Amino acid sequence: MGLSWKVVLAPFIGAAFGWLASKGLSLDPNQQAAVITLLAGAVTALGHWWHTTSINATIASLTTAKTSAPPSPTQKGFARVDQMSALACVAALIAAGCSSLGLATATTFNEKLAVGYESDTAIVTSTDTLLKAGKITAQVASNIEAQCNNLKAALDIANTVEMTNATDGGNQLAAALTALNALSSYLATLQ
Amino acid sequence: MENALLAIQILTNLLSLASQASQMIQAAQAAGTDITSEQLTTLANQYTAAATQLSADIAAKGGTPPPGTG
Repeated sequence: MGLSWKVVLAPFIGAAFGWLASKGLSLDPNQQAAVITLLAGAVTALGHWWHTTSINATIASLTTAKTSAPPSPTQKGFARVDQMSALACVAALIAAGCSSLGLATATTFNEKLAVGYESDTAIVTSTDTLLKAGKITAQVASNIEAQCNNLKAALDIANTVEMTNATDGGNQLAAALTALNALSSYLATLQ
Repeated sequence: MENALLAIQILTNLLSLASQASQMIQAAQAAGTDITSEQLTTLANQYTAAATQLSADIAAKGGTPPPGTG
């Protein structure tokens, strides 16, 4: 499971969100991030399942043909546990993702701004998780945090502008939320 | 498997944050009001706390956190 398939998949997921929005089903950044994470986790887990299934098939063929010594109990046991864990992960992710999709929809400026702040916080928190897990370098994390800081400032500015010009404030908020979406998609490719 | 577990951890982060926003929005909509400026300030402060933590972890990993966090 390398990085390349996720990079290829990201534009298609973005296009799918755009198509859903054109059909009147617009997901906020938190929901989109949850869906992306759900898909990435599910695909990864299914990949492990396929891999361990291949191992089991190989073990079975070797056992049937009796062309070599039977596989060690440790290897066989590990494959089974890995496969069951992968399926459990898929179930947990689906359950969690469905819960997320039941969130209230933000309609007012302040509600959308609240979603923006939380999406920005979620990206920072997820970046911290990836950094601690060794999935990204400190330099990459610093770059993402810098972008998050800029988006936080953009949200603050949109809030200030909205007090005097609702249209301009709304436009600036929409731009910031779009950028948060893009950053969320990028973060999903790093997992 | 490591990636799947990491995805669950990140998803948990997202859901814990999203549930708070959802609760705020649902409460406001149920009351026929809007999110207050105090609630927005609370959310903004949460970002600052998270960014400060990330900066500390970046520094602990030998990196240079971006200036102006917090």
